[in-house]
Amino acid sequence: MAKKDSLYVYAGKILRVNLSNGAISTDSTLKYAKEWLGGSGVAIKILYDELKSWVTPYEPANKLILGAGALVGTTAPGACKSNISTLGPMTGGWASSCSDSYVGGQLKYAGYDSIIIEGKAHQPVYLWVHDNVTEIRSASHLWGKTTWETLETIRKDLGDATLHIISIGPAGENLVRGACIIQDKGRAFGRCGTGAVMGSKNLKAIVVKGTGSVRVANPKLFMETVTRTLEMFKKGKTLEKLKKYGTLGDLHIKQQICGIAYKNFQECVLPDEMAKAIDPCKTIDQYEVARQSFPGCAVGCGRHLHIAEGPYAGLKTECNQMEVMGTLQARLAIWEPTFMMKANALCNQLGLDVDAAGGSIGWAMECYQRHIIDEKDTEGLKLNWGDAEIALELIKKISYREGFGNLLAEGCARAADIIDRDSRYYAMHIKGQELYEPCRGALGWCLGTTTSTRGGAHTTGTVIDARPCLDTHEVEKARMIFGVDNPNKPLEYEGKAKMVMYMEALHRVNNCLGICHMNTIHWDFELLDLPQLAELYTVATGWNTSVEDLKRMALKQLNLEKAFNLRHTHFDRKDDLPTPRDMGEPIPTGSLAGWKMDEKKFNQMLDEYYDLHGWDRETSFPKRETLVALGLENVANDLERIGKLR
Amino acid sequence: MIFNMPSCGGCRTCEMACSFKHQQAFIPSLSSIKILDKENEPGFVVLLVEKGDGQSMACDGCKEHATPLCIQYCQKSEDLEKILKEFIGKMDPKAKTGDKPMTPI
Repeated sequence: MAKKDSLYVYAGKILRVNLSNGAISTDSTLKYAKEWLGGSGVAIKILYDELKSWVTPYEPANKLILGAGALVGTTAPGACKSNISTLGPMTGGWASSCSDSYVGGQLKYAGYDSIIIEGKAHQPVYLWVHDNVTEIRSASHLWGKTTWETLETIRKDLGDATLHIISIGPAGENLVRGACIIQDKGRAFGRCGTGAVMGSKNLKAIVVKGTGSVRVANPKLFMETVTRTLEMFKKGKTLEKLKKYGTLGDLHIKQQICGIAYKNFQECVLPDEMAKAIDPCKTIDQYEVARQSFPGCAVGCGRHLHIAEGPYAGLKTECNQMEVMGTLQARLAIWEPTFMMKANALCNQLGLDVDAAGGSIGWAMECYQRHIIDEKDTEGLKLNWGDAEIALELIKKISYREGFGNLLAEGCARAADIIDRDSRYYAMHIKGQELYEPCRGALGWCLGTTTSTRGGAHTTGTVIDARPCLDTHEVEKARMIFGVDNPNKPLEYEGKAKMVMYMEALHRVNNCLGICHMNTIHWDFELLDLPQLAELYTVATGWNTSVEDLKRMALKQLNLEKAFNLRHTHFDRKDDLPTPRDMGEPIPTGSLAGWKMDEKKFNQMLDEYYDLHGWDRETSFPKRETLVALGLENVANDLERIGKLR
Repeated sequence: MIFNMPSCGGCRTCEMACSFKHQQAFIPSLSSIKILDKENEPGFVVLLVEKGDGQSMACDGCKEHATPLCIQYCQKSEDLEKILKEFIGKMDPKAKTGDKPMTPI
């Protein structure tokens, strides 16, 4: 049974490492846990408090925070996610990304909930945390290596083949804006350019091994709760396909809802023949050699492939998910079915976000198509749609900032600013971060993406587009969960603001507790929802926590993220709008051909979203009473000082 | 004793569950089951600890539970169950073994 005054499920300490002077110290997790939960919640509080308004992403004064979700290290369903947060180079504001990882659990067992990286090392280093010993070790021999080579070398250097790491590749080392951080050889802290910040600190990798424990307040009750919540997964009708093919199994649904950004969003579906030709389920059936899952996951949606034929014969890699298929294969109109696996592997090796790659290459190919750029700009490269070799070549050039790749390494938003020539229209981004998400058609998906505090992205507030309530039972469940009458009507503007607000809470709670979205109602309405998460958290910590408590904490985080953005960027209402293309062009072909965003209705929907959040309609700035009600009066004062309070 | 388990996804939830059975806390370093990466190819193998070494605890087949904890939490429990039965059979030849033994590597 819980001991009074003990801290359960959390490891208890936050490790602070200053790479400029080698200072290593610890803070108490209890300072933050009760109000900020864990993971991204604790990170935004620390970053808001500790970063001054003049700090920029690549300078030593920036901080990078790795946080294990609060339930990580237990058998709670899906508790395998860690978070990395910082001030990011894509948007210039809140940068936060989650990944499945073994490192999170090891961090907890080593005695830490988070690591805060400060300063900048004079030479390349990596961090080696083993239980209560923390070492900053030379990484000069690792600098330049891919993430795969880095994993192998570190395991040899430290004499332990069971070690798990997170690392950057050449893209992070070269401060490519979309550089990411890779877990072992695959799974990425993908979005927002956190890898570039890590590279700016000369930090190549973080290696963690822990032999300690994670304890819960009420062990028997905790395991009973876990067993009971695992039963929910037996009802999930979508899970069999998800286990077999991952999210790639839903290509036909994406086609149905016009949710694929073909040729850089010029179209919203693939040509039928192409969809047949690239069918990823066929590739998986042919080449799967092993499964891949992560701690606690009640689904297990990953697999390894050994590609035996075609241009990439011999490739052994973890298979990608839908995002890579959409953002690279479909966006660049490439017909070779194994291209997505090769591109995914290459991006993982080089440590480059697949969306940063797809978004900038897609912009470039469209500019080439429209003669806005030509071979003088591209150093002779012909950027034709469908050319797989050019795409792979550009991924490398971006990662090494070589030639034309140096422009694309700035991300499509900045690249378009740099060359101008009216190319901005084709840079598909929100707040500076590349989009994978077409924002025409599925309005809950669109609104959640455009308003996301971390820029174009869909895992902190969207209503998933590919699960539009396929049967009556799901519709009833969704009505209860969201409190709207029309959850199964993605093309209706009404009710979407309310649905997005719910998903903003659920996604943040997931990110703080370390629960993978795919184990929750994000993916299937039978799976974990806020009530189960509140229950698991309560029995784990011994702190009585309700759904309303979780929602309030999530809303507090969202408002602090918003304030962080207002302090570091110039974002306002205009940055919560779809791209001009998504706002102005009709869907050209497919089942929704002719559907066009109603600009007036979108703005009414956005007004409703702001009203629900207690933010000003004209500017999107929070109102004083909203922040005060959440216990953020000091934040209201900060925003008032810079003229961004309403 | 190391066993092949082609369906293992490497989640290592079994390690957490096993350690919980021993200690009422999650301490996978103590666990009687370890999931190891295959050396030169993707995939995982299952190691069951025969003798405690001061860190890991020997597997006792969870005699006090109706279903061993590792099997309760495994997504591919049928395969793991065969391995555990084979292991128990080898450790204690008098114990009943499963239908189709999984040969240790």
